[in-house]
Amino acid sequence: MIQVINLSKSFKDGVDVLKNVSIDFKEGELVIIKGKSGSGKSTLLSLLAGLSKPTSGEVIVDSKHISKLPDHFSSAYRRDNIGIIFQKYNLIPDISVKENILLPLVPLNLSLGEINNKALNVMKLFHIEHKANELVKNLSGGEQQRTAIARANVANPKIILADEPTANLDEKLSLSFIEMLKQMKSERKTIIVATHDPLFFDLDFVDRVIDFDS
Amino acid sequence: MSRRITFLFFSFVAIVSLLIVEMIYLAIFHSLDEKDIQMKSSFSRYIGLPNLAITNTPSLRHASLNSVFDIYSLDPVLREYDKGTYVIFMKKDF
Amino acid sequence: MNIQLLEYALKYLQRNFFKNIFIFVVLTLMTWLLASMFFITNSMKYELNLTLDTLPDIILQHKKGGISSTIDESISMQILEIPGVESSQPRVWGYYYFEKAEVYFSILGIDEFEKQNRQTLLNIVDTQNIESNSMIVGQGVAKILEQNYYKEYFNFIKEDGSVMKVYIGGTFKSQTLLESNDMIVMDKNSVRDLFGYASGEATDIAIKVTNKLEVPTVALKITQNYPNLRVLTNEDIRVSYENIFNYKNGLFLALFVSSIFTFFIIVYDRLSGMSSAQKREIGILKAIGWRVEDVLKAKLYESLIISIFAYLLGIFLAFSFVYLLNAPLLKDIFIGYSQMKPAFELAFLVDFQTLFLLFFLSVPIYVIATIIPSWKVATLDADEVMR
Repeated sequence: MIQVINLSKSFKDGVDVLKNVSIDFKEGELVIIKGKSGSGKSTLLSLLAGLSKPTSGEVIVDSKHISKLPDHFSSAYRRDNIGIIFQKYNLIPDISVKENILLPLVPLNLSLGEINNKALNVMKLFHIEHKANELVKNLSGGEQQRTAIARANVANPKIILADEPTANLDEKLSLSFIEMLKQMKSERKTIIVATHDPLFFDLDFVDRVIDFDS
Repeated sequence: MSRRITFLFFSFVAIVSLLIVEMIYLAIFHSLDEKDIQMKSSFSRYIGLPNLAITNTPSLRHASLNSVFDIYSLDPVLREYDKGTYVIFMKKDF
Repeated sequence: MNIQLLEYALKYLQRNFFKNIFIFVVLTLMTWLLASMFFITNSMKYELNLTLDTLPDIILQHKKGGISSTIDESISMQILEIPGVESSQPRVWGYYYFEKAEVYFSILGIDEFEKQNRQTLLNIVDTQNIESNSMIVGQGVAKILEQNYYKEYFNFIKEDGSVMKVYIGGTFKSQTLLESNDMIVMDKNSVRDLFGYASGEATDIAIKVTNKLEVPTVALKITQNYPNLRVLTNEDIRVSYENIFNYKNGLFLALFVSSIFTFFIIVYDRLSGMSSAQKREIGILKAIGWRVEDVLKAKLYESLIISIFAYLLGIFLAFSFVYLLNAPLLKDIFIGYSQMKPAFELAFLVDFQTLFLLFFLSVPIYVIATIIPSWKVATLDADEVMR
């Protein structure tokens, strides 16, 4: 489903974050990418999502050359296929939980009823419906995490990318996240998690662990 | 539609309607009717002097007949002229 | 139209409520002020231009040493011989200073209310019974005279210091107030006597030309034959009407500068970039699947809502201020101060050119000022923006 071919990324100061990385991801796989800070895990996810362009190499998703897409099409590709859970969640603090969750659906010009249904379903799935009208800045860390996960799933994407999802959470909330991962896996989504949290490395429902350090 | 959009829509309709109603009202009650215009034209034809009676100072009352009527000389169009400018322009073509 | 994007734009406006209200108020005030100015000058020019065609086609004046002097009446007979000239009428008119009230009256002499003009006169005067040795006065004149105890007649002081008593025969109708307020019309010989004109002298000569297209030709012939005369055509008067309020517009614009200044500060602030929070928000939207055009559409809705509402409200307030309240204070800038100011209402007219001009001076500028910085951020890599 996802092919990464000789992917390299250097930043303006000349630092090579990724060098000739080649990986394949199958449909419905849950893959953990482990590695220290600065190993290039987040950069890889960013390139898979089309959030930035590689220096060389390619990302192909379902025969589409994502890395070569102009901005207009890469945004549309992201909208239709990818749900991203950012390390710092990247929620908009001054709007409510429901409004944050709905954001990926706004450009689709769906009816109000359809949008509300999708939001309600995903809020129930991730147990955040009781905070629907609460402003995000007033939520706890765990609630913000669930909001971020709900937003990533609202458009029912095929691929979920999670970048250090438990970096700011305690063990209890990290375990809660793992439960939600299980749930997403059961829906046959392709899930790629970049993390250095050891809680993820020995999970029985994980298909593969890729070690970036080696 | 959400409450906000409904409010926006009705606000827009309200202000446009107010504007239209105001313009219609002003057109009916505050514009010059034919009778007024006829009266002014009759007066002007009878008297034959230009400009309005908003000032009484001799140098400004029938200002368009003066040789200088831009007291601050701010506009080149209103430069002082002895002969009428229209005639001068015509003269240059001959 | 994407209703959800519109909803997002509304919510965004609400989140920055006080800033947006400030911008809205400034834009509204600016539109109101500018619109009021245009409406006042348009109304005044409309009044002027209403009667332009009724004025003489050519006016002849005589100047001696650059100073206005009387003109020889016999020239008018010679002018009649020029082909195309329909009529040539020597006129006697001038200004009379009423010292007690410190006002000038504008006095015009008419050939003893002659029969062919009598019906015209009766149409514009309040009375139907005009004595031949009486005068017709404007309402402002009647009021001043009455205030100075002259109810039925007035004693003019002639050139030689003697008194000339003239009865008040009637007043001009109120519809002509703007034109007649300070005017007195009486017998031509009386005016001649009053101003001390010698026999055969006139103030100027008013000429009517049969074919209006011939006016420049006739004017040219007169200039060639009488190089010492000043020839004014109706076109000259039209040009002066177009520009008559220019210097006062300049005064007004000096007052208006503070609003324009604030507006451009807002525009500059918008153009010079967005806050980090605003940039981050656009980065997040791009990251979750918004395209550049979605972001720009939302910003377009935002800026259109503020600027269009401000424009409509500004125009509405300007119409109310100028035509319902009669533009207090602002009207005085254009009318100026005078002892005998006519109390008149500005005539309503809709000038679509003015409305379009005001629209294009405000709405597109504000929209562009909002969209450009958003576009700059939206076209960057989302990753870069979010970092």
